[in-house]
Amino acid sequence: MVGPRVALMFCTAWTDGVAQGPVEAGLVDGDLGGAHRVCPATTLGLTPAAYAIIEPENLYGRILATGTLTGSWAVNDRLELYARLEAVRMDMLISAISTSALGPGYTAVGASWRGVDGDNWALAVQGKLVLPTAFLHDEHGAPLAADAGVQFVWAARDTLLVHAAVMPNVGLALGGGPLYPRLGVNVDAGAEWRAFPRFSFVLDGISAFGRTDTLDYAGVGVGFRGGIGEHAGLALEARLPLVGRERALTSVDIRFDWRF
Amino acid sequence: MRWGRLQVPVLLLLLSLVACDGPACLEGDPACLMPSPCEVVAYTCEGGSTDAYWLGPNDVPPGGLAALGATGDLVLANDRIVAVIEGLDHPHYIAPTGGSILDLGITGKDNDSLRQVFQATGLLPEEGFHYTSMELLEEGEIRAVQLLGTLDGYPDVAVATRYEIRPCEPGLRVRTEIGNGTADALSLYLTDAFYWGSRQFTPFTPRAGAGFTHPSFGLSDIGTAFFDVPFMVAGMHSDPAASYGVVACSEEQLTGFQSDNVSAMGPAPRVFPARDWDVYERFIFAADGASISGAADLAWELREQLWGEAWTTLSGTVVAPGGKLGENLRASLLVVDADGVPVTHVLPANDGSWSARVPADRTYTLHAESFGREVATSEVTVAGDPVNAGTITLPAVGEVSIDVLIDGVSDYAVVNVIPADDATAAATEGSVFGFFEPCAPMLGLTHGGSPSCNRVIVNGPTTIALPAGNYDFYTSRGLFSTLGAVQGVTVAAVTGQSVTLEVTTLDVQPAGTLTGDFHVHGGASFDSNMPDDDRVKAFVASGLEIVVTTEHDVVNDYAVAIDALGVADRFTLLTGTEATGHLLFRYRTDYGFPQVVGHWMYWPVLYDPTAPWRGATYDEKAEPGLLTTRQEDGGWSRAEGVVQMNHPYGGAAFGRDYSWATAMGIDQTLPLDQAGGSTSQSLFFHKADDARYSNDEYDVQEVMNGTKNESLLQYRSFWHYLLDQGIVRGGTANSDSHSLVENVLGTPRNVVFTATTRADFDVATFNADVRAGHILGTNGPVIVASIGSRTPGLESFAPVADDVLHIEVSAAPWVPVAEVRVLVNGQASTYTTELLHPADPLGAEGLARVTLDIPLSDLLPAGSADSWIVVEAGAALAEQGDLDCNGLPDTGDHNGDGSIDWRDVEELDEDPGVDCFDVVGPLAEPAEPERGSVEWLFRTVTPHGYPMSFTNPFLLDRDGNGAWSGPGLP
Repeated sequence: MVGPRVALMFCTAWTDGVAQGPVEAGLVDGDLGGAHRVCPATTLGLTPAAYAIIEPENLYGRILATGTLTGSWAVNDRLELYARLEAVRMDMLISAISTSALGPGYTAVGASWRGVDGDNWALAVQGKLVLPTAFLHDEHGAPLAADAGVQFVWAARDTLLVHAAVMPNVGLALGGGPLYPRLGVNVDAGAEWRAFPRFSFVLDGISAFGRTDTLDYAGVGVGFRGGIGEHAGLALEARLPLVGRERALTSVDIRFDWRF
Repeated sequence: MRWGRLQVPVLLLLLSLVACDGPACLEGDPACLMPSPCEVVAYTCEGGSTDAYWLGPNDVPPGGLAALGATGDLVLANDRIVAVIEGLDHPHYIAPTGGSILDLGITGKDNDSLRQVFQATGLLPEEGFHYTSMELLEEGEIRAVQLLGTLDGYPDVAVATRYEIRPCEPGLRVRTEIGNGTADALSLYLTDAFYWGSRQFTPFTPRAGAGFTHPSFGLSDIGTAFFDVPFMVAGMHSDPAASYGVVACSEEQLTGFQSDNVSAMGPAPRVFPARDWDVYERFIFAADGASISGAADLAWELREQLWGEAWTTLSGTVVAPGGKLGENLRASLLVVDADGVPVTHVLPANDGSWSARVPADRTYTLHAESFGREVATSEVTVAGDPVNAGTITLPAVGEVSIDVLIDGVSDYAVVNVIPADDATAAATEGSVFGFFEPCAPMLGLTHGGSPSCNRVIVNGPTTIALPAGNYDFYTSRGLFSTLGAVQGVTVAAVTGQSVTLEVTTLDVQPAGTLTGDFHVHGGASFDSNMPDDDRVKAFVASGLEIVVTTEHDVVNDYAVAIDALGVADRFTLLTGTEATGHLLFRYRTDYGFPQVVGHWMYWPVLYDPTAPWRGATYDEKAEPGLLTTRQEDGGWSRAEGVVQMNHPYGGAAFGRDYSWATAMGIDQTLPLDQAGGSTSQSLFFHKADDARYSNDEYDVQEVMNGTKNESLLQYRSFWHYLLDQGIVRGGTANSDSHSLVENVLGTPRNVVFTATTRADFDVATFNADVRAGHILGTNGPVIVASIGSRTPGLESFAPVADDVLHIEVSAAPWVPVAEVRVLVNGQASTYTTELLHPADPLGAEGLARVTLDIPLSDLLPAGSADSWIVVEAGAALAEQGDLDCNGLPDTGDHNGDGSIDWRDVEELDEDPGVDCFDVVGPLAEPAEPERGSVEWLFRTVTPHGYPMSFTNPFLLDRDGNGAWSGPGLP
């Protein structure tokens, strides 16, 4: 049932700059398939991130570095709209003939609506659209993608949240060439523990299926999140795929957020 | 802002993304149809036509020095050009499947000179195009072939190519589509790779400072070799020649690199994100003749049609007092604009006239080149109308008529023209457009037909033009004749004179032998530019009795040239092939990169004029044992044929190892692992899946390869390493000749002790003696060795107590023999330096140098362990060190300080501080001889070589158990 329009205890308890929610260091452009926090917040942020594949045995390496501007608007205590704009995306491919590209990256716009909740749990419906704005990277294809799913959060204690999300996602390439349709689902579960007033730690089990292979990847996500004062937050997060088709060693980001 | 206001622009954006003109054949639809490329280009003519057909076994494929069109290939032709697209099931060279442009020539000229043009997205083997379907299309007068497939190592990267021919057009319109259906970004360099093969084409690009000059590069720094250019053209040197070029239609500039091996031209390399796609359209064209200007004229014409760049015609005349242009005098013009951009290069016609298209409204400097040297410049400014640049006068030259009498009769001979003094050498040294090695004098293109470099084939009085100066003329009939010499001939401008060289054959060759060269290339090989008729003339001039033609990957029997010259009775020709790895693959588990397996010889392999590879067998992605299996499946006889490992150690071209021992990475301080795995020490015995033979099942290996002997000591070291382990293979000595310059045919050669004769030649008997190691390898000295009744070979025998090693060494007078060495179990000892030396190296006396009888008891180590003995004669060998500790000599004492250390390593500037170096070399070679010495005379017909001969081993079964086993590694 739809709960009353009152803030959950764990949402009201985490109102400073310390980030909340699953690890968001994306292995897929625009963090497609990644879940978002369920507690709405109005923020502005900057996230430098890197993604690395290093396979000398295949004469292949890829270093992808992005600088992403993030922003979110807590429309009310249940609904958040957010956007992620890769202002700078640098893609370096190391091969027998190495190449690189520099330009704007992908843009994601999304929403999270905490539709059902109880005293210490919540169920949110989330989704986002990843727009083909990496004009200098995708010279002809224009990949458009979206995800939509649910995330369940249970507060074991005020300082210990357990989350799980299922995020089906779909993508296709516009631009006059093959559509390359992709359909998959991300299944993530983990916990975040606010061990200290200004510090939390998050550990996720991450997995994705069907988008590029039966098992795109399964691995872990880790995050160290701190708060500076009442509004600022700093987080270091990483996703590490351990099995599956995904070739990346890791995806790492550093998030600077200002919470209003 | 309300959504209603946003709807229109958003929908328009999405519509434009969906509806833009994209690729047609990347979604696996076999019925797809790619659009016609280069729609802006238009040619018209009267009576234009097109034709397209699949070659059948009764069709005559288009001809030319590089022609390889075969049954199952597709011909696209019109009134101007004829092209052959190879069938999918018999790819050539670096392409993983068929679908490449294999031949391209001028209609009716039979002048295909092109090796291959194929598509790729990079340098790695998985980045080649793997076509799976090939369809002939007929659309009105248009004929086209459409190929669909994927990248070889990326089945999710779809590719498609359309080759199209229209009436009146001088080339093929080509469109390639590619889509990245993988989950990862790739590095995309969508390119046509023009496989020149080396020693023949000189790619030319109109870029400041470029023209024929391109930066050298390796695989590790290839990024520095990429440049943007408006087009690339290239010319073959040997007639009937064609020149080729490419202009992009979908890009204003092409990006790529140039070398005499490969030119790669395409859109600039870029990141290719997952689900992106690309389309590349270009025009690949051909022009008649060797002149770069033929193709460059077409390129400038296409640039005008595509990009509106105006051109005009520049013409003029070149005259040379005393010389006849195009017959015996080579002249050319390089046209360079005021910004230093070479825009074209012209070979004037025989009457001295020339013309070429150049961009309008520029000032040009004409650089006239003759005999490989710039001899005049002239400046001219053009607007939009044709301009006659006037007459350029080249320096006057003289003429010399050369005749060679072999035993008193004019006959084929290769004459080396050598400056008689340093001043003439300095004044005449030149090079071909800055390409290839210099020659003094530069009589003709370095790797073309005669005259070539400073060498000329004569058969009766033959006139050549020569710059003024003092010259010596030398020739021989192979190794076993006198040295014909005429020295100190002063050639003055605008005068003519004659020289006659007299050569007498000598009784040096042992009775009961046939001489043979088992490694010979001609124009059919991808890295040779030698016309068949000149190649056959060189066969005769070499004095060889048996010539095994071993073209890379193909077979050629030279029958047309042999018949035309009427020399079928002068030698016996056996056809074979040199299996030459191009496609990298992974077979070694202790090495991180894909490789090839070096070069392997198979003979006899029958020539088939209409079959793929002309009768050879597909030889890519196979370990040696599998190669042998395939050859047998293709008709080669294991029982009567020969497998030869060529040049065991060597370098690489574009990551392709020339040599099997190098590729294996063997450490010669360690024994081979007979278990036969996939590591350095075990690959030697490995048997690949699907192979009936293991890699070690070859018959002979080259101990000598090439006239220079530059790697002899390493080949020899490997042979001894195997013998020490009881792995017995015959040793051979071959020229690996590719032209008159790149190794002298028959130097070195094999003297095969055999019961068969030329008059009653039996190939099975001959090959059996080759396999049995009944061979002396030599570039001059002749060794006849015996122990009792036994002669060298791979049959072991038990010596008796008082056995004596009997050695007789002889040689032509111009062959200096400094010492005789006897090697017992690989331990070399200089047995004697007390040899006779002929009084007159240009005479015919003094053939016998030494006779020795050495008790075996003086040679063999104590005990009764089996042993082997090899006898060598020739120059003293330079001392070498093994600085990387792998048991292989690698570095000489270059600084002459008496020790071989890091100071002798060319690439080291400081002591690396380790016992075993990562970087070593080069090997030392004997000192440069003084002019006029017998060593110098030897080099006049054996350029950069030193005398060397070796016997095959005596295998001494000292323990008398009936089986010979190696003495073990030292």
